[in-house]
Amino acid sequence: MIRPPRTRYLLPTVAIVALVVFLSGSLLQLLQLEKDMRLHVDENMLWVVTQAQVAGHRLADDVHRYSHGDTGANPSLRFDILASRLALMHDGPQRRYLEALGHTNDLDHTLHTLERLEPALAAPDMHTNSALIHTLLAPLLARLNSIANAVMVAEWESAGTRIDTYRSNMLQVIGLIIGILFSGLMLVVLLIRALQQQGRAHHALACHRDELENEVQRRTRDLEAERRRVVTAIETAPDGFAAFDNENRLTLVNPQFSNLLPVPPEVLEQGLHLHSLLTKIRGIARIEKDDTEALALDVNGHLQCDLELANRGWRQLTVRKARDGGQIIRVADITNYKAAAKGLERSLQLERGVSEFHRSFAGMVSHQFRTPMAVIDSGLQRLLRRGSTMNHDERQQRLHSMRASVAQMIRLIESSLTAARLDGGTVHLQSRQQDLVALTRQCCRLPQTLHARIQINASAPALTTWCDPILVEQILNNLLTNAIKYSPATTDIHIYLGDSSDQVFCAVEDKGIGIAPDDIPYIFDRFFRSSNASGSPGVGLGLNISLNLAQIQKGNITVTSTEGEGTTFTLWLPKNQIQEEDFGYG
Amino acid sequence: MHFLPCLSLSLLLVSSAAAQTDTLPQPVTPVILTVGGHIAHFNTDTSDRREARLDQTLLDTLPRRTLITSTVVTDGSRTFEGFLMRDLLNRLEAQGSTVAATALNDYVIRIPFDDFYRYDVLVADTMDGRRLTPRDKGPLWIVYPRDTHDELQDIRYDYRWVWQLHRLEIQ
Repeated sequence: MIRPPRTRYLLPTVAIVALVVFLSGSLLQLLQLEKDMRLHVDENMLWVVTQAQVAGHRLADDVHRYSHGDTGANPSLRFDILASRLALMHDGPQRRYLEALGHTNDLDHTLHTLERLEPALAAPDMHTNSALIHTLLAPLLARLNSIANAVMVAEWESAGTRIDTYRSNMLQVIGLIIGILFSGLMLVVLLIRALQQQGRAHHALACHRDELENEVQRRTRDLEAERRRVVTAIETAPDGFAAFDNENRLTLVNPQFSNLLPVPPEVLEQGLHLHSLLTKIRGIARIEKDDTEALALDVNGHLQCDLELANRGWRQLTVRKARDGGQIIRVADITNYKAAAKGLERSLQLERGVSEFHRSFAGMVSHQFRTPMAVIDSGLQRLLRRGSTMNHDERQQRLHSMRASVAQMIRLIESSLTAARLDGGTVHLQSRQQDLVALTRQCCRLPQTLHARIQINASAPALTTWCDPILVEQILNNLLTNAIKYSPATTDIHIYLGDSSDQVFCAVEDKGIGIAPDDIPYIFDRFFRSSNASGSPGVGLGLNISLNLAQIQKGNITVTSTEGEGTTFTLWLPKNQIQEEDFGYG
Repeated sequence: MHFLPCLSLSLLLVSSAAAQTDTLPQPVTPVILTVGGHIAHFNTDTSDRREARLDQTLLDTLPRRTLITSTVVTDGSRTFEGFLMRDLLNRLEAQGSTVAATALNDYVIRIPFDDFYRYDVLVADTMDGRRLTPRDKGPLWIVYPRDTHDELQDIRYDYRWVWQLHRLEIQ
């Protein structure tokens, strides 16, 4: 049982105080006793008085012997001795003692008798004075006897009183010693109990410590097992993980991390700083949002961004603050997701293009088909009304005019179909090695029969390119048709063929009306008609289709023009095969 | 002032040793103290006993000492003069362990030699400048320095204060 502190110390305090009190009391009693035992001046008085009596008797005896002629007797010496004994009784302490007993008169009387004895002893004839001396000595001895009697009684009384005092003191001391004994016993009992309690407390403490150690070991094992499970989960996860401590030092990284990010494993050592790692990642990857110069954490210590790695696809990098203050980096492979997203985006753009084409086509049809239809309708009406009256030439003219209108409408429909095929992605490339010079000459053969003014200049007899000859032929036909259509019949058309390091080109130059500078940026847009070309038939699809056909062969078409002087369209094609993109046309 | 007697006593001691009969000068005044027993120097040699019978002249050859002390039988401090018992025993070359001191009234007390060598025990012949007489506590009184030694303030020492001393027996 645990007592409150105040109660716990009460009993020992009482025992100690009692011990001190009893010890002090017994000490004082013993000191008093010792002092009493020293004060015993009266113990000697009986001896003093009896010695005086003896001296008196020996004087009487010597006087008697001397009076009978005994020369060995020495009354004078005996008198001196008696005198000295009485003088002693008369001295300070002894006289005060006798005064206390009320025998001062007796003492004084003995001294008075002594004075009367001396002349009697000094007389020449002591024999005659012997009777006188004895007469004087008898009462002196009687008084000394009386004094001795009183002293004896006083000493016995004193001794009795002193013994009583001693006994009383001793009893008190015994009582105090019993008190000391009990106090000491109580202290011993308390000490034993305290030692027992201490022993029990030590035992309990040891048990508790053992239990605590076992508990710690068990918890440590559990924690270790849990840690192993977490580490295993992290290491086998498809994503890359890296954990950082409170000071942003790397503590854990799984193998997948270095697989997903081309970071050398030796860089991913314990203690690597988070910002140092982010800087390295920044150096090897392109961030989708290019406005971010560095991989910076936000105010909450969070970061999420998509990274493109050269030839390794896309990764999503996520940095989050852990609950204990550290940071966690997660790297996920999102290449497939990105590809799907791009495909979807392309499909969406395609759909938008088709939709736009349909709207534009409807408008174009309503506008472009009306004129040839009106020409055909007007020709047919004339033939109906005046067919019989028309001569042959006039009828032939009308019929050719109507056929020209039908041919224009057919071209219009073919162009629209080509554009629709391009939008729908159904144009299939059949590229191969092809001499562009030969292909150009073949394309120019028919127009040259009609327009002898086409001049071909090639830098080499043959210029090989990687292309689909049917599509290239369609592009060149379009460019030649435009050159013929928009230039006077009196001017020449020049075709220049050449090559650069990795490309081959074919430039078609006319001396026609040219293109207004403001229109040049839009010249390849679908259904765009230059402001100075409105007088010529056309729907604005040819250049758009040509550019698309060039681009799907990894080529391009560029234009330079001066209004009123002429225009040059240049077709560029690759010399060699270029790796097709995954999402390229069929 | 005691030079000459001292010299004469020393000469006597030397001469007596040479003659194998050690004699002290015979007392010329009344004998005050008689010393018997195991002593080497004496002036009376009977058939069975040798004694040193010392008169005032012989006693005066010992160094004089003064002792101021209280006593158990008088009031206040008293000034005593006399000689040290130790000096007397040395001078007589006393051999023994105790000294039996006898007073005129035949009071006999045995005192260990040790007392005289541990304390300056005086054999006084004057108190407060007055010569002690047989009518008082004379002629000689053995006085202990009880004021300077607490252990001497004890009844077992008080009875050794023999007064009216007139005889010593070396045992």
